[in-house]
Amino acid sequence: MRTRAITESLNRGAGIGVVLLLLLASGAVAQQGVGSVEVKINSVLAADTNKGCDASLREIRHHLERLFHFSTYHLVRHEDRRTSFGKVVEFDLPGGRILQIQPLGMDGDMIQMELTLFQGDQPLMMTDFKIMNGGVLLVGGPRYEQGALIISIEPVAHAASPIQAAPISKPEP
Amino acid sequence: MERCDYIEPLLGAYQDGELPPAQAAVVQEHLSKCEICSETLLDFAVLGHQLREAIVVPSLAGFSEAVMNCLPEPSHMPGALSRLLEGLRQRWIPALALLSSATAAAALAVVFLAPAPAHVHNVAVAQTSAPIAPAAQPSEIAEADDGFNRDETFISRLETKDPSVAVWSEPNNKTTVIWLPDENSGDY
Repeated sequence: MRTRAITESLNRGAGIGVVLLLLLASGAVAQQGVGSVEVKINSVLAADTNKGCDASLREIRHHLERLFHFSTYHLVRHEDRRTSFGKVVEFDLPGGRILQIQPLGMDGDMIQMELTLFQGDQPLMMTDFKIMNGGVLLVGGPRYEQGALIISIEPVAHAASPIQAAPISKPEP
Repeated sequence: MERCDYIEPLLGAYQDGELPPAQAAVVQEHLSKCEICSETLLDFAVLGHQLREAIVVPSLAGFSEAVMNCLPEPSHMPGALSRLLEGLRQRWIPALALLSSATAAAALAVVFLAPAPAHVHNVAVAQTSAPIAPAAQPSEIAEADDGFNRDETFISRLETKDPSVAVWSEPNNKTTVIWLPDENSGDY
C-alpha cells in the first residue's frame, strides 16, 4: 500500500517535470522557428586586370576594396532567395560550384546558419556561423579563370511567417 | 597417599568439578581414605549451598515495561501539524522529482536562452590541425579580443578540404571573409 502510494507520487512528480520540460522546449523551438530569411548572393570575379569595379556592385564595393587588393571586380551572377528556418536553399554558382545555405534560427539579432560549398559534388567547405542580420559573409577562392571567385552572402531575416524557399529574382547572366 | 596439606587447596576446585581428570582421581582416592578432608569437602558443599541460598536474584518480570516507563514521553503535537509533517514525509519523493525537473528546466533555459559567451570570437576549426594562414592583408586580420562585438560574424565550425584557410573580419562593415587557398599552392 505504501509502495503504491510512493509510486503514484513519483509518477505525478515525473509527469509534472516532463510537462515543464516540454513547455520549455516548445518555447525554445518557437523562438528559433519564427520568420523567414532572404539570402542575397553575389558571385564576383576578382582579378588584377585593371578594369575597375562594376557599377552593379556599388553596395558591396567598399567591402571589396577594403578587404582585397584586386583591381577588377566583375559581377558574374546575382541571386536572391527566400527561405524559412530549417530549410536548405541551394544556389548554382559560376564554375560549377554549388552553395547550400540553411538558416537555423535567431540568436537575438543574429542569424544562425549552416553553409556548404561544393565544387561539383565535392564539398570544398562546411561552416556553421552566426551573422548579424544584414551582415555580409564573403567566401573567396580558390582560383577561378584569371582571378578568384568571391561569393558575397548577405542574409536578411524577416519577422513574417515562414515562406517556402523560392527564387524572388532571376540570376543575372 | 598424598598429604592433606596438598589435597585441601584442591577441594574447592574438586567440588566445582574444575580439576583435570588425573588430579581429580588423586583427590578422590585421598578422600576415600581421609575423613578430615572428606569433612572439609562436605563443609565446602554446605557452605556453597548456603551462599547460593543467601543471594537474592531479582525477578526480571516487568523489566522491559520498567525501562520503557523510564523513557521520556513522546511529544504530542497538534493533529494538524502532525498530519502536515506526515504528509511532507510522504511527499518527499515527488518534491525531489519536482526539484530535479526545475533544475533541468533551468539548465535548458540557460542553454537555449543565454547569449553567446562574450569571450568567444571567430573560432575557425579546420579538418586538420594546420594553423590558419594569414591572408593577403595581414594588417586587416581581426585580432581576437576579449570583448565579443555583436556586429561580427561568429564562426563556430569551419571544415575545409585544405586546412590553410584564412578568416578575417572587417567589423566596421559587418563583413567577415573566409578565403579558400588554391589547391596545392598555399597562396591567396
